[in-house]
Amino acid sequence: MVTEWLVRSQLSAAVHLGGAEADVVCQDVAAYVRRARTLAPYHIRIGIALLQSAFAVLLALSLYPAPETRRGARLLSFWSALPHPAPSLIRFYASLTALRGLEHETLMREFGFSNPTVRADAKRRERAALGGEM
Amino acid sequence: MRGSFRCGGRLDLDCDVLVIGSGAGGAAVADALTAAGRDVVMLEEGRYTPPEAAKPRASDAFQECWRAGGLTAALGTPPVLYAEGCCVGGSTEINSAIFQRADSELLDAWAQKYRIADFGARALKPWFDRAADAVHARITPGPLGKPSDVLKEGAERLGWQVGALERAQNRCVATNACASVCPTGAKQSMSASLIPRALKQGLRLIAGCRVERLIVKASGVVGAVSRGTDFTGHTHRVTVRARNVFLCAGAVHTPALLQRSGLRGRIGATLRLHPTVKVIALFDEPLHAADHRLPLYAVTEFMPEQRIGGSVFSPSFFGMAVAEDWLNRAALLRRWQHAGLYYGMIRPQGTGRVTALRFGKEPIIRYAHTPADLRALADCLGRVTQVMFAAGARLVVPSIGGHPGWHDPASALRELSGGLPIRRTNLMSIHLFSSCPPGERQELTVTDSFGRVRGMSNLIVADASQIPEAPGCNPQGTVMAMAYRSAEAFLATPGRKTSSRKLAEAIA
Repeated sequence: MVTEWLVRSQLSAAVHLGGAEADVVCQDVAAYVRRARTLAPYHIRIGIALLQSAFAVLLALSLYPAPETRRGARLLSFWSALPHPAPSLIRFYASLTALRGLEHETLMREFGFSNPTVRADAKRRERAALGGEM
Repeated sequence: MRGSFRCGGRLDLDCDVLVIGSGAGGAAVADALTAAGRDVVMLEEGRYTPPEAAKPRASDAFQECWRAGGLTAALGTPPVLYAEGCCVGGSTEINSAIFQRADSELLDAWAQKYRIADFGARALKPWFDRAADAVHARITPGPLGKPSDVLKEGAERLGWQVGALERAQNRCVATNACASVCPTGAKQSMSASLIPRALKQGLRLIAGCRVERLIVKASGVVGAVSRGTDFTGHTHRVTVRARNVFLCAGAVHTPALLQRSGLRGRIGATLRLHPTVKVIALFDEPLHAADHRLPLYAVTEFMPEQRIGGSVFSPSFFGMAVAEDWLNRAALLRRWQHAGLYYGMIRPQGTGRVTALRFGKEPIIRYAHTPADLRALADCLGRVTQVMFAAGARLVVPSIGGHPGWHDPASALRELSGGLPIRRTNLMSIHLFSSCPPGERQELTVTDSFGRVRGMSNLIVADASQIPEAPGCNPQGTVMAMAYRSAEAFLATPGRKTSSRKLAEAIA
C-alpha cells in the first residue's frame, strides 16, 4: 500500500493520466519497485522495511490522504524534511519510480521519448549494414 | 556464446586453473592462460546476456545485469551509491567502455610506496598496450555531437585542458545503451572480446554460478564450492578442484570471498572509490543527448585529482536525476531534449572497509570521507558548474536533494565556498578498487607484487582490488594491464603443477 501511494504521488506530480491509464502505469511501476526491493542487499532491505513501516504509520495518522492531493504533498514534504535516514526512503522510491515510470509506454508517448526497443533494433540493423561480425 | 553453459545438476570438475569472476581482470587472465594451453574453468555468478537478447529498457537491464538490481551502497556520511555488474563480463557490461591508462607519476609512486616489483609506468606500458589492443581501444572519430561539444567548448573557454577519451569499441553506432549489455555488440566489453576468444582457446565457463567459499587446506587452496543455478531456477552444488585459483570477483566480492573462506588480516580494509557528484545542465538549444554517445571528452586540467566528464543520458536516467527532488524538479522533464548529465569525480584520500556477513550475499561496505575529500568534492562541483555555464547552460542543478539549481557560476561558487551540505548531497561511484593491494610491504598489502595472497602461493588476486590506490581515471585499462601481468608471471613460474594423487588427498 505504501508502495502504491508513493508511486502514485510521484507520477501524478509529473503527468496527468486518466483513471484506468493511471492505474495500469502505477501497478506496473509499483510491481517493479517491489521486485527491486527483493534484490537489494539484506541490510538495505531491512532499512527500507523499517522506514516504510514508519511511513505507513504516518500515512495512517494522516488518515491516508490521496497521494495526488495537497495533503499528500504536505505529508511527503514533512517526511523529506526529517533527519537522515528518513528521506532515503523517498529517494529509493523516487529513483526507481522515475526509472521504470519513464520507460512505460504511456509516459514515453506523453513526453515524446523514443521507444528503446525500436531504437535498439534500428541500431542493430545500422551496425550490421557496416559489415563484419556482430 | 559457444563453450559456456549453466549447470543442469550437481557438478564436480577438475582443472589446472580456476578463475572466479569474468570481468576485466578474470577475462584477461582467462585469455592469457588459455592462450598458453592451460586447462581453465571460469565461474561467474551472473548470467550471460547476448547482444540480441539485451534488454532495451534500462529498468529491466538493471535487474538483469547490475548487482542487487543497482541497489548497492557504501554506508557513510554521505553514503555512496555504487554500480557493479553481476553478469558474464562483469562491470565492463555496464560501464561506458572508456579505456584509460593510470597516471605515470601515480604508478611510479605506488611502485615505491608499496614496493611492488616490476611496476611503474615503464614496466606496465607493454601490459597497457596489450590490454588496449585486446579491446580495440581507440578515439572515436568524426563529430561526436552536442553533448560532447558542450564539454569541450566550455572547458576551452575557461582555458582548461580537455582531452578526447579512448573507448573499447568496434564500429559503435551510438546506440547509447552503455549502462547495460550493448545490443549491437559494438562495445568491446569482456563478453564481446576476451571471453569469446578464451572460449575458442578452450575455456570452460559456467555462468549463474556463485562461489560460496574457497577450499583452503594446509597445502594451499585446492578449489572452490559454489551454487550453480540452472535454467529452471533450481540451484545445485558445483565443486571445482583446481591446482591454482585466480580470484577476480572485484573490489567488493574478492575480499568478501576471502573472508568467507577464513582469511582475514588486511583483506578488505583499504577499499577506495571515486566519489562523484553529478549535475543536470539545461541549455536553450536542444542537445538531443539521448541520440548521441555519452560525452567522449574529459576535462584533464585537474587530473588525476579531479576529473570532469559527461554521463550516459536517457530519459529515464534524466528522470532519476530529477527524482532527487521530484516535487520541485518534475517540470524539468518536459525539457529533456535540452538537458545533459555531467559529473565531477575526485581521487580521494578516504578509505572504506568490506565486511562479509554470515547471512545474505552482499557484504557491508563502509566508507569514510576525509574533510579534505569533502572540500575537494565541493571544488570539483564548482568546476563542473563553471564548465557548463561557460558552454552556455542556463540552469545547472547539482545532485543535492532539494537544491533548485544555479543560474550563474558566481552563485554556485559562492555557495560551494562554504562546502557541501553533507546530509543532502547524493554521491555515486562506478569505480571501486584497492581492497587487496599488492606489494612487498606486508603492513600495507594483502598480496605479493604479482597478486599471490600471503601464505597461499597458488591463490592469486587479479582484479580492481589490486589497484593500490584510486587512480583518478577509469580503472578498466589498469585492471586489465595488471591482470595480464599477473597471469604471465604465473605462467613463468616453474613447478606449479600438483599430481592428481596429492590433489585428491588434499581435498579428502
